[in-house]
Amino acid sequence: MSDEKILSVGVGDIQVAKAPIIITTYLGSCVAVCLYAPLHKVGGVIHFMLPKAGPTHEGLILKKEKYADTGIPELLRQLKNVFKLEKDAFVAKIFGGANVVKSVSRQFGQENVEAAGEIIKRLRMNILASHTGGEKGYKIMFDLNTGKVNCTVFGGPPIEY
Amino acid sequence: MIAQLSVDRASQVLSKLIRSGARITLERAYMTDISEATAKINAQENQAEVIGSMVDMMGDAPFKFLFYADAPSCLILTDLILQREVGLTKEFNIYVRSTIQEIGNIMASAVCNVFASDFEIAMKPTPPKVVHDFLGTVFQEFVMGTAAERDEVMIIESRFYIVRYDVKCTIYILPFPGSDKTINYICNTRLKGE
Repeated sequence: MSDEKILSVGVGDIQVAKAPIIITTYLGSCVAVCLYAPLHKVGGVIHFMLPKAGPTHEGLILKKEKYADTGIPELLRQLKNVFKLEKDAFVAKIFGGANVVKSVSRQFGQENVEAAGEIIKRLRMNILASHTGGEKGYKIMFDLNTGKVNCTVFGGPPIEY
Repeated sequence: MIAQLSVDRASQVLSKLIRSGARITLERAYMTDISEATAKINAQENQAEVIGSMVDMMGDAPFKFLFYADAPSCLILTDLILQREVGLTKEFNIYVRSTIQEIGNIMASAVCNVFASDFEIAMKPTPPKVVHDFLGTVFQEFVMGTAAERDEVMIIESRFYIVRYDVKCTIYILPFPGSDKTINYICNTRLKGE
């Protein structure tokens, strides 16, 4: 792993790349969807923060990468365009959606996880693995060489998916 | 100027709380893209556990306030606040949690007081929320509310160093959408002496 370049994904952003690269991010109530084409060793990660896009209170339309409904199709579009691959080449893994700052009004983490599942199902893609929910943050390291995601929930051991 | 006054006041309050000088090692206010800011935090190598206290400051110019330090520093801060020998607190427990909550509360209130007394803006802090997690996760939860409304935000960042105990801690102040109108008003009237 040490020779591979590491790309960090921020909130409301997408990274797509080809091996040898590791894509990493930290998650709270946000969710990361990792798409991977095993035969071509290419993949990408979206780190979205809300389930559904819409104008803000000030009427602004924000980046589509912030939302599950606009961001996940955008991740797939970028992967298809950049690497000239079809949708069927990719499998999905989902991580995050924790309830870190406890809120009684809305469970954004859970809503994000549900939205990701629905959109991937709508895109007719397979979810190969997932680790979601809980009350602690996640660190994920997505190795494009193997397609494995090393996932550490805060305070626990790393687990490979 | 507002940032400087707020950070100066917070530094004084922290020094008084722990009875030791807290030196400001970084103080800046900047506009940043949320994705870039969080990616930079995520890319920091030292992602060991941090304990943070988040306070929403509601009123005429609403802000979000975050105080955090790494876990070893929080243990030292706990001993200092409890006025006992440094090194007695060995792990995260209810005392550490309460200490960080209280520091966040007091420092956020100090910033509120700058707004209330120096600029005559009504502000009121909400009860602090303590988060014990990865730095990347804590920062992300901190920016969530504002990131839902804006792609680019203003952040006031300040770092403190308590030389005697080698403790480093950080505060972030993040104006909520809508605060800019009040801040612009202050800049255009009060600070120009009108």
